[in-house]
Amino acid sequence: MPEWDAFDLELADSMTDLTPPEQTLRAVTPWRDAVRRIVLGLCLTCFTLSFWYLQYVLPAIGAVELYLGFRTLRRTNSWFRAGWIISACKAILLYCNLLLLATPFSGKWSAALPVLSSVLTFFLFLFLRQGLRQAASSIAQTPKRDPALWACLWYLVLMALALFWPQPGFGVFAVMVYAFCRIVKALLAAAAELEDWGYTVRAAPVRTRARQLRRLFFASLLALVLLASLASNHLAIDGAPVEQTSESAETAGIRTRLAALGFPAEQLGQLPETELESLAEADACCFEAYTPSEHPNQANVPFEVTFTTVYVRLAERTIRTYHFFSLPEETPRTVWQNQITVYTNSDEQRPRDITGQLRWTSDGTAMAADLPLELAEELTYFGSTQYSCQAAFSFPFHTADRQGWAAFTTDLREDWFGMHSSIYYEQQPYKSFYPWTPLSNAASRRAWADSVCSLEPFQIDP
Amino acid sequence: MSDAELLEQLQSAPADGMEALLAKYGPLLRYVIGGILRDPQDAEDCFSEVSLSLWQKLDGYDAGRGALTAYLTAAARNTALNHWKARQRREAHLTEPAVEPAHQNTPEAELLRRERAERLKAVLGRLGERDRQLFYRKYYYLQSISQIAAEMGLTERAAEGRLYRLRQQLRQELGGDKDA
Repeated sequence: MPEWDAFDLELADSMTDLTPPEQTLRAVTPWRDAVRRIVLGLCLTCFTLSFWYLQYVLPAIGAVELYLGFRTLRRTNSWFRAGWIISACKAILLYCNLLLLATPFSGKWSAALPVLSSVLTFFLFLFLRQGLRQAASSIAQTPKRDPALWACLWYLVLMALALFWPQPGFGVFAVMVYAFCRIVKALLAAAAELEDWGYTVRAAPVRTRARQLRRLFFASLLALVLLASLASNHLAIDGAPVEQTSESAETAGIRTRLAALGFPAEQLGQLPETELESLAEADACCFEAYTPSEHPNQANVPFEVTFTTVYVRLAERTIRTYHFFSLPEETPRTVWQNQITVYTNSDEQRPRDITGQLRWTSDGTAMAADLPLELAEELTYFGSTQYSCQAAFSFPFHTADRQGWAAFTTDLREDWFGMHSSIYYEQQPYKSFYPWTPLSNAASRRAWADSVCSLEPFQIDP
Repeated sequence: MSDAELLEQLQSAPADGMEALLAKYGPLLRYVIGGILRDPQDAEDCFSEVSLSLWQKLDGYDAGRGALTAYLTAAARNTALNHWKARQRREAHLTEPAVEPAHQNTPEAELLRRERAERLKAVLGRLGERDRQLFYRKYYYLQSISQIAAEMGLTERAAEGRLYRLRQQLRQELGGDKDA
């Protein structure tokens, strides 16, 4: 104590009469903080609570605590040093996994990473046990019981249960909870054994404070996850300004004829020249405009989209169906993933010439982009095939007049007297932002419209 | 073996009881001594002294006044501190024979020390657990900054900074040497 001045010496002298309180006596050890962190870390990483994002938060806290705990003990013996390295790997793995979950690339690794992480956790249990035994034997102590070994074994039981029953029923879940309780009990017993001989443990110096390291880990993880999540959930759309070229006489003629057949003018104005050319043979047209709030069956629709469904007859039994949709200006711009799904008549009628367009105005310029529609088919309860066209997209930021359309052509079977089609417009709720999930697999908010068009006479069925 | 059983054994079979006591609390005693006396030989001598002193005086331990660990910690700490002071005096005597001892055990000095201890106790009672631990480690266990930092998961610089602020706070509340 050569650097001490008189004040320090007086303080030290006065302390002779002040025996530390019980709490401080228990806290002043070289191992208590470290082992408390390891026990907490192992408890948090060996069990998963899949609600309120706890499946991501708790393992992250656990991984950091494990690292901090083993970091302190790393100079005591080689087992703790190995545990320190494994815990660092586990923390890095978890960091990457949590980051990956914010992106569409997580699918490839989603099964492998938890398994790898569990294996690392098992090694941490094992190395903790070996480290404790070696630390005890270094001062000729032989622990009478071996609670850390029991913790290892119970963790193996937990791993086996999770492997064979990934969706556990109540019975398996109860066994899992029991195994977890035994692990906690065994770890606490292992920590309690240190009360006798743990003072021989050597705490290793650190370059970064535990609190700083924790903050760095969580702040950077949160920032990166947020960025990756925001970037992944905004689906890129290749937009281009709508060209205002003069229309050919032929297209102008088609446009005039369609307007005369009853194609709504506003929606007709959205169709590009190439699309109009495909309607050259049109001889009848009918439509239905549909605003959810005006429809008695959809009073609880969470947001409004104005739909207009237009049926155009191209031949006796060939109909081209258009679904136009338009978002009101008050729809928040913070809704990122949008998806439309257009259903056609069921019963083996495969739609063709599927096409669509997104339109919006950006800084006063009308923009358009192709709607990435994909055809999907699924079996109905009745054994027939239901076709649908689906597209996921995001409108660019700071845009107005967000609208679009999707179209397909159907050749109706002889025994059908009409055409039925529906459109679902889905929006991503904020809770589906993380982990990244395509809207087709996630819970969503939806608005819809459906209508039936009869062939004879060619009109919307009331 | 619980503390009560240990004390019972010390009464009935002192030699076995002492062996059991040192087996259970030897690491604690060495830990406390090692924080004060860095030289391994000094620490070992001190450990022997503490063991002997316990052998002679453990009868005086009153379980009603505090835990056995507190008693043992105080015994180890005070013996090690005396060792350290004795060594310092020897070294000072060899190099600077004219220097006066810093603290004299006069009744007035003892009274002042007790008063200061009372005020210190009140101040410590107001500290958070982490700061209190830091303070005890530094001024009771007399541990080095490197040991304190490592065991509390701090860098040496952070531990020094925290201790400096704590010391300033205590100086303000207790009234200490303003030049230091």
